[in-house]
Amino acid sequence: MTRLCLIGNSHLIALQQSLQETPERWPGLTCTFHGFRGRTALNTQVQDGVMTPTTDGARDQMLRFSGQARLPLDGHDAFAVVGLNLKILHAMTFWKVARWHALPSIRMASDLADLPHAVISRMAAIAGLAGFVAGLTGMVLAQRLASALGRPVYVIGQPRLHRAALWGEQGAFFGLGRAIVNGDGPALAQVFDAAMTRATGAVGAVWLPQPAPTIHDHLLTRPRFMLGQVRDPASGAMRPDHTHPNARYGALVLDQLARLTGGAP
Amino acid sequence: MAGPVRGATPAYPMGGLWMTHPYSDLPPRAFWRSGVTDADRLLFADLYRPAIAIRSETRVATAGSCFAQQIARALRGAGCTVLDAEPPPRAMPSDVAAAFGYGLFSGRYGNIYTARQLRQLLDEIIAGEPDPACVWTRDDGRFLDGFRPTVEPEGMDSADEVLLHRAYHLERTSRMLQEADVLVFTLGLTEAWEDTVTGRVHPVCPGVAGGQFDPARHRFVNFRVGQVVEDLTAIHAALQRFRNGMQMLLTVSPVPLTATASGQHVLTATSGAKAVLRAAAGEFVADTPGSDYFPSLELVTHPAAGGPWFDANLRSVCAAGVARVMEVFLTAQGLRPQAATAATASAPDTPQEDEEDSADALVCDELLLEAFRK
Repeated sequence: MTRLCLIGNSHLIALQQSLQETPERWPGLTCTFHGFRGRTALNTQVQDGVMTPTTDGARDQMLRFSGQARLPLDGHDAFAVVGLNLKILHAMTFWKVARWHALPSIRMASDLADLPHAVISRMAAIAGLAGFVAGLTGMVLAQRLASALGRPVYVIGQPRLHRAALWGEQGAFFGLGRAIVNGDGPALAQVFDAAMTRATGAVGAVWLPQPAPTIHDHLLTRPRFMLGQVRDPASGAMRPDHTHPNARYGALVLDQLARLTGGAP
Repeated sequence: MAGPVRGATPAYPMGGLWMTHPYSDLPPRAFWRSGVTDADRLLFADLYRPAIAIRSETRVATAGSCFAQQIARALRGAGCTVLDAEPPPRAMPSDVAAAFGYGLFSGRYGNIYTARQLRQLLDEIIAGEPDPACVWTRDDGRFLDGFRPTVEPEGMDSADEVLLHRAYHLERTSRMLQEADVLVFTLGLTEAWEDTVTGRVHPVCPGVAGGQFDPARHRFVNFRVGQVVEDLTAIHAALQRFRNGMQMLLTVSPVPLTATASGQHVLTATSGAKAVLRAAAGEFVADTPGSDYFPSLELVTHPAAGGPWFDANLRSVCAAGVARVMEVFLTAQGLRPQAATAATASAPDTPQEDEEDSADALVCDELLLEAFRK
């Protein structure tokens, strides 16, 4: 039996739900979930196998989401950091301001020097993106866990946006439609996974790419793996959600973890 | 009755006779005792009188050996307009950007150690086509630009990628130079390796950071004063083609040679190189209106300048040394370093890490509460 501790933000819920719905699928896994929102996971420390808060806000969240302000971690065989702002949209942010040789869209420019984008090498894109994500909550937490606990730490990003986001504000903001039409999607996805692999390797953790069956057009997630809608906390009504995965998605991620941790049937 | 007066030189009585000579009315900075022995040698207030004024609105281009990076940094820190032909993408962290040659100089040309190297770069820009000889291969099969091998520490995927980036680099550098009022150029070395087929010099010997060293093709050169002056003169002429009236401020890097291929001891080779560069700079400035020299070399290496201003390896200029040199420079220019902003200690207990997250913060919170409420 592999004792797995999963720490993350709202993207953790998909994994928890899939485990609740079909626990028999992972007989070799015992999972503990700890939720944090935003950047609060940074305001913790891990000492002697125990995670404790360093701010009142972190303490409140640990009490609210885990029921205790001291999280014993040393009884686990492996850890997974889930979500916490690690997502392909950071590659899109890079793409909005930079172009590199592997991108088909660069060949559309009549004069590169006129481009409003920085023209960089593919390796600079990977190194730059890896450097950027190294400062994000999920990666800092992964580093902290890996160095304090000496156990395997797996890093799982947030899924790509729901396919419907292509026609929404987020899709327009990140230029998802343009990237797909230009044919830049495969190269962007490659740079993202290469950057995440590099960044996680640098902190002693392992990057788990988004399960291939869930990906649509390299940059989006197929609708059947996403929640699609959530309750709006302000109005109480349901509203479209393009960000969060569902239990079906969570099951594929748990499959990955089970294979890697030896918890697979 | 007054004695004889020749030009502006006054006459003085001496031993009952009115005597005159050119040293009679020189300012204190002209005499060792008043200019050095009795002077505040930390500030050296009168050591450097700028012939080229740099103000916050002056558009400055920088190039040269690694010490030139310090000048660019100090000027930026003082709120000056330091041009940047190829700024890094906004999201790229500064350490990664620096490793890839961004923001170090006004162009992403890497270290330009010799005047010949800069002269040839300007010639290539004017020609408008990248020199295909720039493509080097590494032992791991990746590709480099042999004229700036350090700006891509991980190499590039193909020769095509190298040439694409070089063409972009030349064009962006050209546009930058067309805006520059002043080029600050730090001379670093006299030694270089020349490709006898192309006539081009490389910043590092082929084979060291990529490429293959071919003794039949690559030739060691050690430039002499006349050659450096000739190169500087050609650089000045080329710069006028980009922007008429562009001025040149020269410095000589105080950083010793890492190694010499001259056959001399590296210490004497260093002294020789710095002497050649200092002499060449002096000759060039004396003959070229719109040029000036700032004494970085003297401020770090001269015994009268105090110190030692080197780290334990006796090569790297220590932080205090750099700060001191830049303070002399900025003070003489009437510029001051601007205060840095303080960093915060811990992350806020709020959801915002980027724009996207802030939009969905409430929903994420609600989902977490529903799923994990204890």
